[in-house]
Amino acid sequence: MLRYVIRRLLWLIPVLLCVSLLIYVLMDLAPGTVIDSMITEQMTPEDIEKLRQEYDLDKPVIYRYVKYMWGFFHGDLGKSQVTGLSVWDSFISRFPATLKLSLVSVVFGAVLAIPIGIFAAQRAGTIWDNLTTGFTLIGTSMPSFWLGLLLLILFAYKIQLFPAGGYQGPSSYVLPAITSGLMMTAITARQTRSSMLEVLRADYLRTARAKGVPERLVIRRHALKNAWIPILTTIGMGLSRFLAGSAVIETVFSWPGIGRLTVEAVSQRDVTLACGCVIMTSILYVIILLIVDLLYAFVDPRIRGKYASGSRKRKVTA
Amino acid sequence: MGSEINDRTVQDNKELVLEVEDLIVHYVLQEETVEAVNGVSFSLERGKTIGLVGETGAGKTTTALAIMNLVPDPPGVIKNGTITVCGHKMLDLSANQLEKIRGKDVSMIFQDPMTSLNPVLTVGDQIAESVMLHENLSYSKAFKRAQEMLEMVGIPGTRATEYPHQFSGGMKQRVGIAIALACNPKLLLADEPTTALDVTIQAQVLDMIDDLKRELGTALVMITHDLGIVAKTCDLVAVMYAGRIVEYGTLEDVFDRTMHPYTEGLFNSLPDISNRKSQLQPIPGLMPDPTNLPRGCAFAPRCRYATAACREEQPSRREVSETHTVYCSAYDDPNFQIERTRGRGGNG
Repeated sequence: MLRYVIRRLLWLIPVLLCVSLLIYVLMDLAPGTVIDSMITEQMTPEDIEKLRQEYDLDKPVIYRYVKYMWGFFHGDLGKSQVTGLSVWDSFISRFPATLKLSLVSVVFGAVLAIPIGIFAAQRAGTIWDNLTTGFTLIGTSMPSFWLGLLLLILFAYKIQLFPAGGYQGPSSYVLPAITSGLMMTAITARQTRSSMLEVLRADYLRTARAKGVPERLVIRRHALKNAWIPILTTIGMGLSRFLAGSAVIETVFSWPGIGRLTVEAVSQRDVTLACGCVIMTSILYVIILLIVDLLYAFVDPRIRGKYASGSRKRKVTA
Repeated sequence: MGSEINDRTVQDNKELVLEVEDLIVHYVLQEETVEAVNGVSFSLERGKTIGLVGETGAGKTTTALAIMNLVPDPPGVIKNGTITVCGHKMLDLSANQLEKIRGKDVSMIFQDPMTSLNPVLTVGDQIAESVMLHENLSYSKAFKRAQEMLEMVGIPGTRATEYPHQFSGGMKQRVGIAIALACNPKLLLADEPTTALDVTIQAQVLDMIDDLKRELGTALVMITHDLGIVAKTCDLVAVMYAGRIVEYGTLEDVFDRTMHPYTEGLFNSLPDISNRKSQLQPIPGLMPDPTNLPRGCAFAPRCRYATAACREEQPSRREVSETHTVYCSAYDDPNFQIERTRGRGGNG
């Protein structure tokens, strides 16, 4: 198990090299540089040239990239080229807002989605199933910025039940959590439904019923436990996507999170900050997916057996 | 059969554990209706074993599921019949009442041990579950009972904390048997319990079922297409074809005094070990399509004795002796004999 975790974490290195190189090159290809906003009319060409040298813009992109990554592998994410603040500090100061919103959205989504999915699977083919399928279709296909704006118009402008944006107090979570949670609910509900449908046909549920297990326990103890893995994967992917910060939702609700930080960095051509944000969110992404993988072993003993193979493997006896 | 059932004194003496009367089960699909069971009646006394014999698709498994009232619905519909298990009318009970009877008074061993155990629960928990449900024991006591049950079926009790994938096929089937017997049911339905197993394991499992049955006084419905298993384990035999019982009697009645042409065909299709050069004599043709059963005797198209009348109307019921019943119109002719009996020099 430990070896597996270490191997997975080592995979982070190529992943980080790739994403950081990608963001560096993309930012370089994009028109404009970070010094564009610093240039004033009074500056002489010499001043501008000095500024370019200060930011290594006179050297090839690969030089800047290697220099940046050299710092990164020594534990230094660098300083924002615009504000001069440490990238690590900016990230950490913005992270709690994103984390809290992500957790609220995921919990909201999962708590709603799993019962909906089970409900639909048990009634597969009926009008109830079709209704939930319709709901999940709307949920997955509705663009979140549009849903966010609709909710804002209705609940912040017309009814004025919730604040229109910002990050103060529990009520400010409601609209962004619904916006991002709804898509989460829809996707997870679909996954729960199909995963449960597969399990509901299983022979071992017949065995459970033949033992006299009440139907609600047949579903909860026998079926759901077997359907967990794809559901967990969906939830884990959702969580890691939210943690990377939803640029759209954070912008619509002026939520001071990672998503907006990244968008700001990119629009100001702040390569160091943008790259730092992308690297940090990639690390989070990989770690969350790793945790989900480890949870598989928790729900499925057959996978646990594979991790444990080697030292304490018990031979199958005939 | 019928007259015995209504006789109170007989019932008191012999204690009927199972009565199935005129059971009809159809699977109603969108385009067609599968007529799986078409009027099956039989009964079983305490501690006895009945073999339901027939080809795949004869309605054996559906009959067993109907006894548990577990026919998958949809598409299964129990159209008619009464089923009485230990005095409970299974088809009239609520889901709640059924849950109290299933696993306690009647339980079932399934055909495929590979898929009938839950892969994410330990075998101990799966056995303990029914004990907890039916005997209101605490988890630790139920788990202890589960370990005893495992020992009883020849698996060390310490392995109760292991998962199904850690066991071989034969052991999984033993676990299935331990689950079925955990609460000492009065009636056990065994649906081809050895079909998925190696021949060497088959004998072990059958011996074990037999021993446990004797020990616990359980009545057994043995579903199989293997006549050898029937000969080894059964007191009564019901030969099924296309959802009907075609011949019913004691083991000796059906094996030694075979009446029905289909039963004869089953015996003829067995290899003869003493004459290895002899040709196998399979029954020609296939089972009729259960969505489109013939009007007359379902076996008529494959029967070498069939007459025009056989194809037109349902076969008549004939009680050969107090214990032996056959459904075949050929016996309307008092001189009719199938070849198998002829070869033995007459009807016994």
